[in-house]
Amino acid sequence: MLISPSSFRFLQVFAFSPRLEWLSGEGNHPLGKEITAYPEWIWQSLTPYAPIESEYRPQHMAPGDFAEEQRLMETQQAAAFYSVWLQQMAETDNPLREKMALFWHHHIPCTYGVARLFVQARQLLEIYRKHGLGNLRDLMREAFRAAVLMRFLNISSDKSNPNENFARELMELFTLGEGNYTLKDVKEVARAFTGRFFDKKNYPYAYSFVPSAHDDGIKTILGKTGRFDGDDVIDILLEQPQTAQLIARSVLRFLFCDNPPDEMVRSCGEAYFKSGFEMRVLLESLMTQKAFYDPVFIQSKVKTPVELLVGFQRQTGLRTRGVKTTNSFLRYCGQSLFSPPSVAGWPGGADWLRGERLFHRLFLPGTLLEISNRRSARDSVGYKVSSRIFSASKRKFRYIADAQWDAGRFYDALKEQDLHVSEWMLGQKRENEDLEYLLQAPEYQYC
Amino acid sequence: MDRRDFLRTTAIAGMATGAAQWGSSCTQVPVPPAYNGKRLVLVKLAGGNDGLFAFFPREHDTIDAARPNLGAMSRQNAIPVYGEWYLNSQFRTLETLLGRGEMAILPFVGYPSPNTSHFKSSEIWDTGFIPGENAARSGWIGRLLDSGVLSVPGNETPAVSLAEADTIVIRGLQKQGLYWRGNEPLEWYAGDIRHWLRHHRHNQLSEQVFREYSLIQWLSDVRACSGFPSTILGEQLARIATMVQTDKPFKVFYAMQGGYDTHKSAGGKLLNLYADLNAALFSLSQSLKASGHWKDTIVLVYSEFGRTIDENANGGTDHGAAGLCLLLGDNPVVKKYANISPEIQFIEMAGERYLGHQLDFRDLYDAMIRGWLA
Repeated sequence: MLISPSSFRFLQVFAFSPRLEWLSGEGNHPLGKEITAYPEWIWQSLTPYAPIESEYRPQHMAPGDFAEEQRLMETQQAAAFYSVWLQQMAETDNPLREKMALFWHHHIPCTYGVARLFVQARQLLEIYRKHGLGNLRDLMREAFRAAVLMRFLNISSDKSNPNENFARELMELFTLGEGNYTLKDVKEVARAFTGRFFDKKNYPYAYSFVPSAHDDGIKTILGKTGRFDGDDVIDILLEQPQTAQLIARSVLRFLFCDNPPDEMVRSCGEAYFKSGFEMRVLLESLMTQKAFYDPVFIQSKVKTPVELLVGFQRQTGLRTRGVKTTNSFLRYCGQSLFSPPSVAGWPGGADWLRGERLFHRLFLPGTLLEISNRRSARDSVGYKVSSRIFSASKRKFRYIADAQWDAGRFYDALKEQDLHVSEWMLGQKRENEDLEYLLQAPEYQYC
Repeated sequence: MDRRDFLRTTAIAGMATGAAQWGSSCTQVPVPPAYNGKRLVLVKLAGGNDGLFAFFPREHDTIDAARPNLGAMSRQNAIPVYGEWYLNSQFRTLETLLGRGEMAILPFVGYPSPNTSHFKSSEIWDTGFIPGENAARSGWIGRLLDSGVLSVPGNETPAVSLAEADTIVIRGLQKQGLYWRGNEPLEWYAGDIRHWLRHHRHNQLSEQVFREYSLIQWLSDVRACSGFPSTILGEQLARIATMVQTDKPFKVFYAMQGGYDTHKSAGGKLLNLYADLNAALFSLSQSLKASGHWKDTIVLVYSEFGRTIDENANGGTDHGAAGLCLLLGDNPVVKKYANISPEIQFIEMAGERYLGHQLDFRDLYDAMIRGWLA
């Protein structure tokens, strides 16, 4: 057997899911190896950091849709870019870098929409991709100088009246957690971060420090006293074990389980703290714990919409490349990238299953499969979906631009490996082997 | 059985028995029972509303010195309401309710030891628990759903949130209200859902699918009624008006207007927000008045906290303590609160002055529960 429940689980947590191509021996993959080889594989197959290709080339487009796609690319730059990013998650063997960049976007979220800072949002994403698996100090130093975050969190302010907003979010949400600092600390941290601005004349808004706007006085923060600036505050926060604990819980909730056990959080947090906040160490601590492979944690987490979409594409080989496909699906499921509902990010867990979102995600695989079976350009998704299914609300729901799927290849690959569809899709064997049934099984909503 | 029959039967069967029963045993049951009793509409101003910009004393040495720019801006064309107090000019239409005793302005509502975090303070307001006092894992309306006091015939969980953002307010430990973001009705999934319910095992998720689907079907004919501003808040209140006027079995409604976290250039933003708030609330009152539902409705407008008395260097204000509530409705509960005269009290936190609370929000909730809903 190629895939055991624990190896399936490992790949879901760290690589969104196994790829269909692996069954025919393509790519660098751990299938067929002992589970103990998986942690080694994840680090050894990780590609060095490189920025995401900016050029977006629509592929698999039905000819009739091309003009529309061209228009969307120009008017919806952000949507086009996110679809490239999601495509990368679906198609690289080891998307751990993307997954952890996504984690940081969950943990220190921001929205580009307020000021239309899309180019700047991409810069922040690259900071998350570059340092997301590395050291937290580097990540925070760069992120808190990024224009989009400075705008979203009100980081820039003058010493005459320091802005408390960022100071509070920094300690409450990103590092210490509520109850581990005082209002006095908030005020002092706000003073330390004064003088930071972004240069509006220097597109795309380079960071600039204005010494005359910085409060250079003595501050007392978490019991330490000195002429602290913003970077000093980061250093002080990274001296607190509580910061490692809070981030460990956040990582485990994002990757592993909606309610991770305290004991696992504690040991991951301790390893993280001891390493001086190296994310790789935290992840190694998670993947080498025996508890990680305990079957009781299978399906203990509601998939995020990104996990659902990307995992589905990896497993079936179905590809979506339209600007609207990813973007609109994510929007209807409540996870528009770079537009979280609040500075605390997405609530996650059961919230993904509430209200209409539930139906959009429950029937996504069926919808995508149906779309991908279209026969001609005229039959293409935009037309088919809008006319057949969304007739009442054509404009709003014309969201699937393109999807392509080779069902024959999918079935052949599984058959050749003597694998059941259910093992491949759910990591466990089920009696009913009907694909549509499995994709819409309650279990498929969890990982 | 065609699609329409299916929708009707499944929806009602589940609601009436409280347990999902599907498959081939669906039977024909009548349309949702009409509800015609008292209702509460909660309107949350998310982000922390600067109450002092909305309602303020004519002269006050401390306040006037702390907010020279915002103070001057709020005074422009302000409406003298009672005694020495003024209401922001944007509330000009809503002010007509004040004269009739259909609106109470409660400028300083809060709780002891205020928390200045959005999340914590929202949690405090939403659950009704102050940290350290008790565990807070359920919303204050959610607990009423758990206890069954809100039940109406045919609906055990007659609370609905129309807000885009999540809220714990209508979530109890056992039961939760409906989160209905009011996107397009999902009629096109009907066939899929029928198929799904017939073929998947009965478990927690399938129960939820069934329940959400049934409730959404009950609301599938709800369209926003006309005469409301076409803003996010306006559309939420317009749908609430329709739900009330078509006797949908819901008792508590939750709507949200965002944008109040005005750390920067607060004045212009607040004027726009208030204009929207004024128009949306006034439309709701007029619409319900015309249909004869106004006497049975209370609207409670609140925010997670007020803001600092001092304006900051960016022309905004930071997170504060006690804040403004509005109560709307033509009934003795609102009239009782309309007679309270405002009193400014200051409290000190971390060496700075904040607004203290004159009224504890939990007393207000208590009045809503004992004096209205129960």
